Amino acid sequence: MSGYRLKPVEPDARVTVRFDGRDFEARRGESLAATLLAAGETTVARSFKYHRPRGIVAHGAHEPNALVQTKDGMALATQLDAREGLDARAVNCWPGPRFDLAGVLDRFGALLPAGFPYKTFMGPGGRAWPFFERVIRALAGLGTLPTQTRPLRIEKRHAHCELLIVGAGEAGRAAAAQARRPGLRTILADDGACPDFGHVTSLGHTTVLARHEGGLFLALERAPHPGLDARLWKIRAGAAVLATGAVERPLVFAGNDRPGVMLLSAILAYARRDFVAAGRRVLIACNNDEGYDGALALAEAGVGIVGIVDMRLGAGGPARARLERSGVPIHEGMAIGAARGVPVAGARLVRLDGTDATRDVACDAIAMAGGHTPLVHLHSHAGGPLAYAGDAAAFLPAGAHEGAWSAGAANGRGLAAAADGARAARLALGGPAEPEIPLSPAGGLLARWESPPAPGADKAFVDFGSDVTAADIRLAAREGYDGVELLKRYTATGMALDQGRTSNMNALDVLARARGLSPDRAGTTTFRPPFLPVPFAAFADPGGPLWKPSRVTPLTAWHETRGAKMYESGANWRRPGYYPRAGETLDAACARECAAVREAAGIYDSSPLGKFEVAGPDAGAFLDFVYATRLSDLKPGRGRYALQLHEDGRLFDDGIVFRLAPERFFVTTTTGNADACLQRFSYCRQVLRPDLRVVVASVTEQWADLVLCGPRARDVLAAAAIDPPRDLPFMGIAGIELAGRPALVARAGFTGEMSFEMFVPASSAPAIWDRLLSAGAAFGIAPVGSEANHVLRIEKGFISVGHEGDGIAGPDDLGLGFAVHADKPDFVGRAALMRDRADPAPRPQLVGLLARDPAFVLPEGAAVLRADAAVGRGFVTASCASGALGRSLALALIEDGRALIGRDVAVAIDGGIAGAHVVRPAFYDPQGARQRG
Amino acid sequence: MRLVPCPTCGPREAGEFVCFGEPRPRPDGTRPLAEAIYARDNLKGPVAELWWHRAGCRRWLTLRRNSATNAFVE
Repeated sequence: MSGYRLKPVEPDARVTVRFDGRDFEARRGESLAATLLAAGETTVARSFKYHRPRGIVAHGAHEPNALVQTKDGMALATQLDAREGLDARAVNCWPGPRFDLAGVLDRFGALLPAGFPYKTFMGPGGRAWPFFERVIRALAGLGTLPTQTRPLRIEKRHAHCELLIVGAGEAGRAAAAQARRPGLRTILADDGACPDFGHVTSLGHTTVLARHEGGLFLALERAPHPGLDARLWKIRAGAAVLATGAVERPLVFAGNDRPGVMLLSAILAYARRDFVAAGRRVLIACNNDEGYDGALALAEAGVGIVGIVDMRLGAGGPARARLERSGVPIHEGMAIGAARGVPVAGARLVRLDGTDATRDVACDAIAMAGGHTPLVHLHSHAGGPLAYAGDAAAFLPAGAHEGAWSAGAANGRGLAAAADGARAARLALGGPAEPEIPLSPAGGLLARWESPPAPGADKAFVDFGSDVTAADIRLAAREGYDGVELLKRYTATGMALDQGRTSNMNALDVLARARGLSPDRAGTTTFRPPFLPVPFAAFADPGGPLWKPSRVTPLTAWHETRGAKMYESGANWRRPGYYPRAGETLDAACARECAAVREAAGIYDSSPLGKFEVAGPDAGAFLDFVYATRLSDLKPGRGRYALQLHEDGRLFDDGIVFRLAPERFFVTTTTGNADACLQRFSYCRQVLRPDLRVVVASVTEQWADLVLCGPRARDVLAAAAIDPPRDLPFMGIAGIELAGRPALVARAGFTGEMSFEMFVPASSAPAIWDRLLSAGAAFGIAPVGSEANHVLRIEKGFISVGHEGDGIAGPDDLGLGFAVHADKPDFVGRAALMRDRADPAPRPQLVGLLARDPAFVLPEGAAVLRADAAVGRGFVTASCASGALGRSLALALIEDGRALIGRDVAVAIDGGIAGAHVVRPAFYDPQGARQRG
Repeated sequence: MRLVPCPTCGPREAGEFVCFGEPRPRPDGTRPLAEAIYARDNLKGPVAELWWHRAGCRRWLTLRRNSATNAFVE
């Protein structure tokens, strides 16, 4: 009960907040940490591993201890703004932070050394870990996930600027003042309030989380306006000034984690900004002159100082004389040997000259001043190199990196921050070279942080958040985990909330001394984004139709209003799966649509099919190169089924290529591969065969594709007054006029029936679709979806690249050798195909399967087994219940499958084996008489 | 996301591109077939790579990148 307010809360700023079920008076907008300090609530948390009582150490984002739970999740008490109704609880303790039953763990600290889970539970033969892991995690967990939480509303925003300034401290403000140039876009972002400069865009309460290559920064703006929880900025900056400041370095002594032991900078910030004193009798421990400067500043703010413990002799600068005059005791050449009391009530001081004289000092708060650790995270994120500066005892940016200039305290120039910030801005904006500003480390810094460890003393922590002690670091080094990256993983130092901002340098110092190395030789771990924990909602897909738009055909709206079940098919297209009538199941609707096609007429919206125009004097030669099929001898007005192979000879895509005119081809590809075909066509044209005079244009969206098929297709066309040439042959194509606009009609399809594909301008499609449906009503026409198409093509044994083209099957394997013209001198995949053909090794081959039970539909993907052993030799690629054949059918790729035709195989199904008979992969009208008409 | 220097369009985000990697000479009988089809040199240092500016000019570009630093080089 040591903290208090230096100035009462103004009545109009007074709010009440709750912490652990008790009410506290707060000043609106101050941090919960300030409120708790002011109320003398020194103990606000329990530590992660030992459940030691902990207090507030820092201010802002670098607090390692004071994590609290709110209904929206967990937050740092130092970052929660006091407002009416704020309700927070301590975490990792029961019943509360001041008395926690699990605090008994601290007594058994010797049983919990670094790496104890590995040693205790995971040794040779150790099976205990799965059990103990649950117990340990229950004890060590921090907080709970909120069970009832409103979804966070976080929007994303992109910004571009010539200059981004991170941090609106002295250096950042000086940099902003340099950025006055017409047309120069500058963004200034700061964690806290951000001054308005007029000529820059100021983003307050915005933490820059990450710097990526190419000058891309991610930043999170908190509560930009009521109704928006946060905004994630993606800022592309031409150049940047990184003025992110530094965090004060704690000292390492026994009991340095006791509530009431804080960073000097934090005590100062609470006194000056929030008018809250951390104690009435503050003892300052330091290894540099800032201890004295800070003591003067605190005294000026009205905070009582009971003494300064300085590791050095005869140091302290001008401030020391003033303090001595006002009677503040200076304990020089001494360090805190141990803090005592919870909350802290005093300290035993030890001499550093080896004598064992001690001195006891009573105090109610201890301020640690160990110099500063520059926040070089953003510099490092994108790969900026660091160099150890011995004078500052810190890793500093080794110059600018990819247009990002560190400045001020982040650059080790805290005492010349304004000059360094202005310099960085001038250089970042392309100004001439300027001399470097000298380093300004904390005055007279002595590179010593740890007090002499005494046997039997309390634990001395290097990482409060992960509960890692100096002894843990030494133990890890003795056990061989003596590289920084290993040490981090073995002890978890630097892995807690503050990501090592308060702990890494002290851990490195202890490690370097244990190994007898200089700190630069010990190295440092890699800084990775994000700088602070970020809600997943900031990165998550916000959902909604605009996030991942579906592609729609000109008829999608028609399908939807007719109640079609829409499927997300290849390449993001939404297409009808089937059109159920009232009360109709999928199977019934699919069977009805299939019957319409086989007995009357069906109409299918095939608009997503990939479509290309290939034109030019060498268009035929080009297609001969891209396709395994010869296309250059195709007559105008005719089409041919054609295959594209991968360079390794396996099937890539299939489709029908039509020749419209001597130098003009109309190429169709599968829906799913349309984008890949565009890439391939342009690759072949630009990279492999730039010698050919040809152009390729994707016309997938320009042409809708309406497929009319069935024995009454001609009658429907006649009734609709659509007149393709009477003599249009199977696989022929002709240009006609439809609804006053040019269209293409081809006699091709995927169902094995008399079939007309009408390629019509997209905007004409709805009218023509309606016309065909009304004309077809008298003949029993039905719109059919992809479910029926799947059945119809299986009945015919037509392959679907998405099912049978598995990346392993080649054209011969699929029975498509007829479409390969290997006598052509060259085409993509020819060399590998010829090698495959010369290789006697068994190949998967496409066959048909008839399940022994005709009512049983074999599952797609099921393994086909050898009769003599449970060894897979293939799989079912497609399967359906066929109305036309009155039984189930399947296609399968089976090793040497054609040799098995007429024999039986076993198919592994859920819970057993199903027998099946192997047949040729053509079940319905195998001669193709119906489609030829 | 990194920026890719497109000679037609200027610097654009990598998401607009397909990185095709090392140029792949067609199998011509001078190397074993599998090597010609599948093997890549995967060199450390400056390498020439094919990029397709799919969502831009749709040109196939040969760009030089230092595979050790991930920086595009002239």
